[in-house]
Amino acid sequence: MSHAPLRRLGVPFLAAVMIAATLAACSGPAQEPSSDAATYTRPDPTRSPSPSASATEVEKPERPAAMEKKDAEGAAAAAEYFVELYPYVMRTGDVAEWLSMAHRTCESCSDMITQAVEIKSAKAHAAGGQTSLNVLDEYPRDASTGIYPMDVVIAQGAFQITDGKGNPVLDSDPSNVQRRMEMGRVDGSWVVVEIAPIPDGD
Amino acid sequence: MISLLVVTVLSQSFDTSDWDNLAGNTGNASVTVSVSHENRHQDGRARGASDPSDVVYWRHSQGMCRLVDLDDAGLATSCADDTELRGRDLDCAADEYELDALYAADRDPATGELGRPRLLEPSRCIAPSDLAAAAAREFARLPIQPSPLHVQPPDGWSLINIETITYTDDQPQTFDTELLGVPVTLRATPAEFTWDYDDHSPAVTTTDPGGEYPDHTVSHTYTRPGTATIGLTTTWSGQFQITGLPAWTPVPGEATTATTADLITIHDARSRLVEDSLPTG
Repeated sequence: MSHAPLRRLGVPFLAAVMIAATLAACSGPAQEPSSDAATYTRPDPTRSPSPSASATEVEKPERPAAMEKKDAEGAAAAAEYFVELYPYVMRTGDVAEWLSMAHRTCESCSDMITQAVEIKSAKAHAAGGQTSLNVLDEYPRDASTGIYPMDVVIAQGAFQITDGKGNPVLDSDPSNVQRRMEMGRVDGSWVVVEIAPIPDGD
Repeated sequence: MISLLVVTVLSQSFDTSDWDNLAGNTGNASVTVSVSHENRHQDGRARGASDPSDVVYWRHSQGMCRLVDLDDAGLATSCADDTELRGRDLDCAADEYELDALYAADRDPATGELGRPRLLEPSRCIAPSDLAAAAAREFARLPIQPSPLHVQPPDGWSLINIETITYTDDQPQTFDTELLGVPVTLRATPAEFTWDYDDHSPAVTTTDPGGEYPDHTVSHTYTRPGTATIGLTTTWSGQFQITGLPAWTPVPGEATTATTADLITIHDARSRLVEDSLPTG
């Protein structure tokens, strides 16, 4: 098995599928990076994972009580919780919470779930990627869908993935990305309807 | 990404010709819709059979039907199972606008409840050429601000045998509106200026708005003393741009505006010999 390419992604959060594909086919040719990839470099065999990539167990974030609210505060709490699950889900492959919170329209959610599943199935290891969310703007509830849209900034720490043999697959720097999140409710629980770039002009 | 403006209720009166042009003859072209989408779920008051809100129209994309399972989605009535399954938005060309599907439902005059919605028109791609006729009609109704008219000398008088300077500006004016449900920006651009100097001389037409002294390019020389009211007729050409798309499309036809300056007196300035020295300073 050859070494999988080391990818340095400017936007590891949401840039999930291609990493999963790399893990799934790590003996094959490298997949070209998507437009989200800031830089793309060959693996550096002399480089070892940074201390933040240690195998420290990641605790599952606590579900905030504010998620019980049906209003904008509840929507923001649910969005924050979903995002903060990132390192836990990637580390453990426990996607149950994400599956319950990802609406079928949320392609970004599907991509991240796929990535977590692929990491686990490939016996790879994810580390770092502590993620936090701050709401930049909240928009009025959409009367016809009940959706609460909001613009958020997602801050993520350095994030690493290594394959089953310890070879680096991804080593990303800390990043901040702005996204439009749309939160709705299904059967009384919050779901993520979409996470996408903020449209131009908004 | 899911569009957030999911349901657009047509809150304006339909223009019959617009309606026929876009959606074909539905037989409801004269109906005036005045209730909001939210109201149609909350307003259960009975209405008379002649009430113009007996038919409610609204739009949303077919792709939005994938949100039908949201607790508060008001889409269930217009997202039948088959619509939901094929709930896929169109892949319009770069210069086209995706116009959401149009639905209508009858309101029971006795109960105020809406009946089963019907799909009047599926989502479709709208090219600028589809909006040309509507754009022309809207352009003719635009409240274009008449061009300013400046005269120099500026104090209500001028002299024969010297240039009386006139000028305006050529700034375009823009208006945000909708054509057949499509958000657009209409732009009126001065194309020609016709100057009437009110002295029985032929009107002068320029594409140049002129300028103020000493950079003036449009002027008139009166040959007789008297009074005059200078008039300016501006001919405007139109363009429209579908919101979010880069291209500007010409609007057929033109519009005109008229401006009149204040009355000026044309003096005959003659040389005169005087006995005393002219005052200085």
